[in-house]
This record gives sequence, C-alpha cells and structure tokens, in this order.
Amino acid sequence: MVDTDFLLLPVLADYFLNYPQGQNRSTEFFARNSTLNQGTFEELLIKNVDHVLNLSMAFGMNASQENLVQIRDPLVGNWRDSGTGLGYGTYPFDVNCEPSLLLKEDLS
Amino acid sequence: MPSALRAIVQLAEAGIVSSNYTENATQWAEVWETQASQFFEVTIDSTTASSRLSNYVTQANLTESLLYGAGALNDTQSSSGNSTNSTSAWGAAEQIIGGASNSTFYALSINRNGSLVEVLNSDLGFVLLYANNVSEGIIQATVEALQPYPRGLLTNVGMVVANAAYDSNVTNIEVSLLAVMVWS
Repeated sequence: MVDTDFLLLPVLADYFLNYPQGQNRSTEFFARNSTLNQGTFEELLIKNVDHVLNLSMAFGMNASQENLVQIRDPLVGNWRDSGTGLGYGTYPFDVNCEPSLLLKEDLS
Repeated sequence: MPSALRAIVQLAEAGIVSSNYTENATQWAEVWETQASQFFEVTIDSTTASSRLSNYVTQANLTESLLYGAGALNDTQSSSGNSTNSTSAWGAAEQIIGGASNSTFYALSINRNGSLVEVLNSDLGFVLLYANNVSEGIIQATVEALQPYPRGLLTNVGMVVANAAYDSNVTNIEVSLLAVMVWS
C-alpha cells in the first residue's frame, strides 16, 4: 500500500522534535542496527527520505494530474484495501493530499 | 504527501538528516500543499445535488425522509425532544452540499484516464490531522461532509468511509452499498 510510504516521517519528526520523551534521543536511536533489515536506523531513514522525495519530485516540478502518486497494487492500493474501496481509481485522495494512519481494527 | 515533505524539512533543520534535503523538500511541499487537492475537486450545483440524492435513496431502498432535517440521525434528534434546534443545526443551507449554491467536495480517487470517482469520503480527516496548511476549500468541504447520511457521512453507529450519493456514475452506488463501512 503506497500510503504507508508516507507515514513514517511525520510520526518520526513529531516524536524526536516535539515530544519531550523523544528529544535528545535521536542520535542514539539512529545509530542502532535494525534487527529486521540490514543497516542502521539512520540508513533506513535516509532510504525513506530519498523514496519520498523521488515520489514527490514529478509533481513538485510540474503540478499536473498525471504526476500525482498512483497506487502500486490495484487490489490493496491504500488503507481501503480493495479496488472497489477506491471506486477503481488509481490516484487516491488520501495518498496525495495526506496519508492515513490507520489500524484495521479502527474499522468495523 | 505534503506532511512527509514537511517532516523531511524539520528533520533536516534539526540536523537529523542532511541539510541538502531542505531546498527541494520545502519547495515541493509548497507545491503539493497548494496544488494537489484541486485535481480532486468535484463541483456540484443545488439542482444536481438534490436529484442525485433522490436517485440514491431510491436505488438504495432508503426513505426520502432521510434527506431532510437530521437525516440518518433523525431518531436521536427526536428523542432529545428538541426538534426545532436540531432542524436548524443540520439545516443551514451553507452547511449542506449544494444547499446554498455550488459546492465542492473531494473525489475519493482519480481514474487512470483522469476522470474523477465522485464519491464523498472520510479522508479529509487525514488532511486535518497531518497537514500544515489546510485550504479553505478543505475546511468548507469538511463542514459539508459532516452532515447526516446520506447528505453527508454521519450515522448513529459512526461515520461512513464513503458515500456515493452524489456520484454521476450511478453504478458506484451499488459498489458502495456492498462495502458500507463505518469508523468506530
């Protein structure tokens, strides 16, 4: 789901810069090695930053409809989790205007 | 998108990531914030809004009375015994899609061919949660979406995630009725 590509950075920035618990913790945290992926958390952070900038560049340079971000998978494009959930569209509002931070348990 | 770019700027300013990112992220965040949502805008006039609503309640086998007063919240409102207030609270024309004049809401998505999926949806909430610069259009659309279903998204058991009542493509009505879900 392409929406999840955009979720990490706002949460991370908020935690390390705005929350008292997160302040002065970033150096130590980002130096740690990830246990799930190769590399330190800093290297993974940079990967995500580069990825977000790559996805945003086309529209940032030329704000046309075709340059908005499209879903990658037609079935699980975003949190709505189905083609019908997006009315079969490929450029979701939430991904382009803001992503969702959602647990499936929030829906019934 | 735009809040992820704003976050990159913040992380760069705090020295957590390289300051080389600042210029592009700042510039592109501004473009995304001010120009992305316009591609999703659906403008609808009063006559069209009311005829689509009528068609929707018929197709969905709902009662016409849902289109007046507190709509899907009617039972709650009448049990409070304050019908005058509830009518005016939900009834102000400028708070209703197509109520006063043309309204703009934001499409659920855009098809590959550029056409809009004209389905009212809950995802404005994510803009309110994350975005740094929220446009007046988004705020007005939020007010108009926070109307009782089927005019808006509210029901007694929570907010629906999507509502195809205003969609010019009426086949979406069937699709959305098969997948009605509420936030809880």
